[in-house]
Amino acid sequence: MRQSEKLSESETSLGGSNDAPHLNEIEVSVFGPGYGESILIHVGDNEWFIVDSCVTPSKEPAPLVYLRQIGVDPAISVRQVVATHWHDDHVKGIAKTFRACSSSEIVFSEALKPNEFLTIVEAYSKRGMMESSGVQELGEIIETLKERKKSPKFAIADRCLWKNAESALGSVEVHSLSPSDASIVLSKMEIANLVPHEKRPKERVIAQGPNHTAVVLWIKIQDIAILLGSDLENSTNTSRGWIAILDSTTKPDGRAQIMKIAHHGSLNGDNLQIWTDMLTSDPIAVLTPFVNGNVYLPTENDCARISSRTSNAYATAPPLVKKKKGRPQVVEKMLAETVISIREIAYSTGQVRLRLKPTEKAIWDVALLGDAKRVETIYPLR
Amino acid sequence: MSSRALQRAERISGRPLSEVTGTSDIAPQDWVESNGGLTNRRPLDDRLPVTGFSGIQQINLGASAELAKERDEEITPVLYPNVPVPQSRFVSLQKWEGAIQQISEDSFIAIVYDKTQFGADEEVEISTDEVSEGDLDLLRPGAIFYWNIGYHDSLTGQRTRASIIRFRRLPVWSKDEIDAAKREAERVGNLIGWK
Repeated sequence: MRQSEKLSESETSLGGSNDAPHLNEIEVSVFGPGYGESILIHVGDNEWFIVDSCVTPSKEPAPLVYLRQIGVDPAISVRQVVATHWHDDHVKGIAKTFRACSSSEIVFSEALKPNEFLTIVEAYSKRGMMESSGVQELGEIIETLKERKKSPKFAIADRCLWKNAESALGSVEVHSLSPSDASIVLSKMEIANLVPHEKRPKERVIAQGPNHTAVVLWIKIQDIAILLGSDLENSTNTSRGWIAILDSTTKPDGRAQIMKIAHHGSLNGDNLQIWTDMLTSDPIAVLTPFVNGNVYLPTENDCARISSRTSNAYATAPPLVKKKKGRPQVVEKMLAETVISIREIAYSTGQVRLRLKPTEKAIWDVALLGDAKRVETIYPLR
Repeated sequence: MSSRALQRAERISGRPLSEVTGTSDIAPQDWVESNGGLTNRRPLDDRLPVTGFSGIQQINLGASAELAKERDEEITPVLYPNVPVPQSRFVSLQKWEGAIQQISEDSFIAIVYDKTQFGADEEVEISTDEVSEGDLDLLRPGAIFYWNIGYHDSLTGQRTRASIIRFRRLPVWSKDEIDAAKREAERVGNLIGWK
C-alpha cells in the first residue's frame, strides 16, 4: 500500500499549515534533522503525548512551536512528556517542554530510578562546570516536579503508562515495552560509574554506551497501533535490547501500522523480527538522522535495507545537511586552516506528519515538511 | 592636565603647546603633569620604554619646586605623554566554549558553544596538534576548553593569525560536595517520590 503523499507547503516553517487535527483524527509528527528528535502524538479528543525533545534554530522545543502554531495549548492538552533516555540528542529542550505542559506527567526510564542517578543530577546540574548538558535538563525537570509537588512515572517493559477507555476514538492505551529487567541491572552499574568521585575533576558528564535502557512505546488507539523505537539497540544478551521485547510474552498484542525506526536507522537498532512480528505489511516507517563526528546515520546501506522492508519509509531530513554559519571571511579562512571539520548542529526544521481519521478512511495522509524526504531518495542512485 | 596649567605651560615657554611637545596629535587628556603639586600618573621607569615619540621637552630645567617657591616663581610643569606601553596582545575574532565528546589517536571531536554570536552549537573535529603540550594530559571525554581565533600582535607590531585552545583545569570534587549532593538527592527523592 502506497500512502498518499502531500508535499510541504513551506520548507521553513514547522507544520506547514496551521490546522490542528480534528478530535477524531490521529496525528503522529516526527521532528528532527541532524541532532535530536521528538515525536508528537494526538490520540484524539485533543489529548497529546510528547516523546523526547529537540529544538528549533531559535532553540525553542520543536513540539511546542508546532502545537502553538496549530492553536493547541500545551498547558492543557499534553497528557505525558516521555524522556526515553537521557542522551543529549533526545532531551534538548525537554525541561522547557515539561514546564509548558503544566498538566502533564513526566515519564522516565526505570533505569534512571536508582538514587545514584539523582545524586548525579544534583551534583552536575548545580555544581557542574558547564551549561547545556543533558543532566541540566533533567535537573530542571526535577525542580518543576518539586514546585508542582508531583512524582515522575517510570517506564519499564510491559507497563501500561496511560489509558483512556472513553476517547472519541475509543480505547486509547500507552504501553512501555522496555527497558527490560536485565537492562536495568546493567544500567545501575553504569550509573554508579558516573557518580562523582572525590578528587576527580568536574568534567562534563556524558552518557555513553549502547542504548539498551531506552523506552520503546506502544500506543494503541482502538485497533491502530504505533511503535516508537526510541534508540533501542540489539544486544548479544537475549534478555536485553530488541530481543527482550520480541521474546516477551506479556507485551500488548497486535501489529503496528507506524514505526518510528530505532536509533536513526542504524543496523544495530534494527531487527528483521520487528518487521515480521510487530508491524503490518508495508508499514509507514519514519526515522530521524544523526550526525556525530564521522558517524552519519542512516548510511546508504541502512537506507537500502529499510527501503527493502517497506515502500513507505521517510526521514525527517537527510544526514548530510551541512550548514555554515555566517561568519566573517577571515574567521572562515582561519577555521579552514585550523580544524579537520566543523559543522553547525542542525536544529529541527524537518517534520514528517502523519494523519488518519480512522472512522472515515484507512489511508494515512503523509506530509513531508521542511527537509523531510523519502528514505529511498536520501542517497541518489549512482 | 587642567586648561589653566596648559595655558601656563604655553605662557612660560612662549610657544604653543603643540610646538613645545613636538607633536600635535596627542590630546591634552593623554598628558600627565609633574612638579610642584602636579602629579605623575606613572613612575618614571614605566615611562622609559615609550617609543614612537620624540617630542618630550622639559621646561624651565633645574627649577625645583622648593626653590621656585622661595623665589616666588611660578612652578613649571613637566609634561610627559601618556602613551600606552606597547605589548603583545591578542585580538579575538571568534570564541567558543567546548566539551570533548570523543577522542581518537590524533584528533578529538567536541561540541562547541559560540560565545561571540547567538547561533546553533557546532560540532568540530580538531587535531591534537593544535593543543599545547601542557594541556595534552587534560584531553579526555567531558573535558572543557576555551577556543579563541583571532590576531596576535607582537611587541614589534607584527600581526599573525592565531588559534588558541586552552583547556580548563577543572576543580576537583570534594567529599563535602559529594556528600551534599547525596543528601540532597535523598531529600528530593523523598519529596517527589523518585524511588
